[in-house]
Amino acid sequence: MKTFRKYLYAMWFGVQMNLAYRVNFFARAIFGLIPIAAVIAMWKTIYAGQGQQSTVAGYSLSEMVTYYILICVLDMLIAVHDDDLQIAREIREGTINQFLVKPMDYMWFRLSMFTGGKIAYTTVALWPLLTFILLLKNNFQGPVSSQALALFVFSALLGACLQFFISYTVAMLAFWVLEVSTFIFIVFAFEFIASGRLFPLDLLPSPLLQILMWSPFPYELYLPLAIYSGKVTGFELVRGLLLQAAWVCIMAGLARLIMNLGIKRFSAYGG
Amino acid sequence: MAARTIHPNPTQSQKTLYQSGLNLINRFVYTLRRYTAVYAALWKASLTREIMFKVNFLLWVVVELVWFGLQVAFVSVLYLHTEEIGSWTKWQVMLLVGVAQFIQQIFQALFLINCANLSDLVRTGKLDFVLLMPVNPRFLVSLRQVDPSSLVNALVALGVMGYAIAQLAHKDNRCKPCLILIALHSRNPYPL
Repeated sequence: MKTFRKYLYAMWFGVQMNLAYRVNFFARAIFGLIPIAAVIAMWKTIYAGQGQQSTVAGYSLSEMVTYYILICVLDMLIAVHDDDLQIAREIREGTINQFLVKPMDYMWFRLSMFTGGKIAYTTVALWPLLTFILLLKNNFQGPVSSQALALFVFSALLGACLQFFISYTVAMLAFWVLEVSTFIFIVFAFEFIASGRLFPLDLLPSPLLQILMWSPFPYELYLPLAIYSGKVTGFELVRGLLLQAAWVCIMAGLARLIMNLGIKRFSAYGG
Repeated sequence: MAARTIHPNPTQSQKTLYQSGLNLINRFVYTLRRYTAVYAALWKASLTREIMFKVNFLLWVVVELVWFGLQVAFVSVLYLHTEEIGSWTKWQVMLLVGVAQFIQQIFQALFLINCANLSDLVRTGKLDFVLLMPVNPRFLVSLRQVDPSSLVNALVALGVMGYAIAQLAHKDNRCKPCLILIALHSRNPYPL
């Protein structure tokens, strides 16, 4: 219980620290909606060219718009923004020392900070996003069933953990190399396309999608969204959730392993 | 008419005018040469700096390439499912993506770092050292650092533009030398 309270304080610390940037967050939330609005406008044009009742890869216009709105929602709730850059900076500058000597696990501390940061961001970003959803409410669809909604929330939480552990693992490279932002951006590019953030993965040719589903990326965003819209049901749903859980465990283990290896060769004085 | 003829013996005022005109041109040429030399030195310094971190330099090229590839992939995937987006065909959009990337990379290569650095210069007080130098401070602040990795990517963007134009010309099958005109023409709402 005591251990738990320790990390609860860390989370609260994360909320406070991040609320300092509330104007910044607000601006980011508003301007982040512009590209999404552009993509939605483009999809409307595509559907207009094919007749309103048409579907693209099994998606109707409303389903497509809902998909992008939910991408925004998940981006607000679970996306890693600059935690990885912060971790890398703490390693590079040696300020990680002050956490390593404390009776606290750095990885769980960072996960708590991440959660706190997301709470702070959500309290600010929620308002522009709600306005955005209201503007598009004609094309917004609810979940296929209450069961799907529950599983969507569960899967999104796993997706949050997965995103965090992937970012954490990449940030751990800072123990070996001076400048990790290049690696972070390369991994981010793969996440951007392979997690379904740019377009629903059903648009890809089927063999490619089959291969992709064995990688961790689709489980960050695509799986929760596919559950919400009922694109994944029955056996596939169970298999998806199992694979997602497996990837969370694998990435958490990998993050821990790399951190232990890194700390062994790490030497920083002062800090 | 009299004013236009050149006298064999120019008056004193005409001589001064001629002299000051010449001075102006000389000064302009001198400034141009001086600033070209300064800019060349800035390029050299930036290149030296990049060579110090070779792997990092290559990785930044890769980062930009991956993100550009992502855009190209997005367009390709879209056109798997549709023939046109509001009258735009695949290779027209590819050309647009290529041009956008090219312009952005050139901007990034020459200006972006300097824009980003300006606030740091002000905050840390390093701007004082820029103001002390015997060159135009706006010139130095705007053009000090060059990012050669973006120039590499501008070349890649040119390649994509070229390929898209070739595809458009292939479909159009008219005079090959004026490919860019064909590309532009195919976007013209009032074709000939």
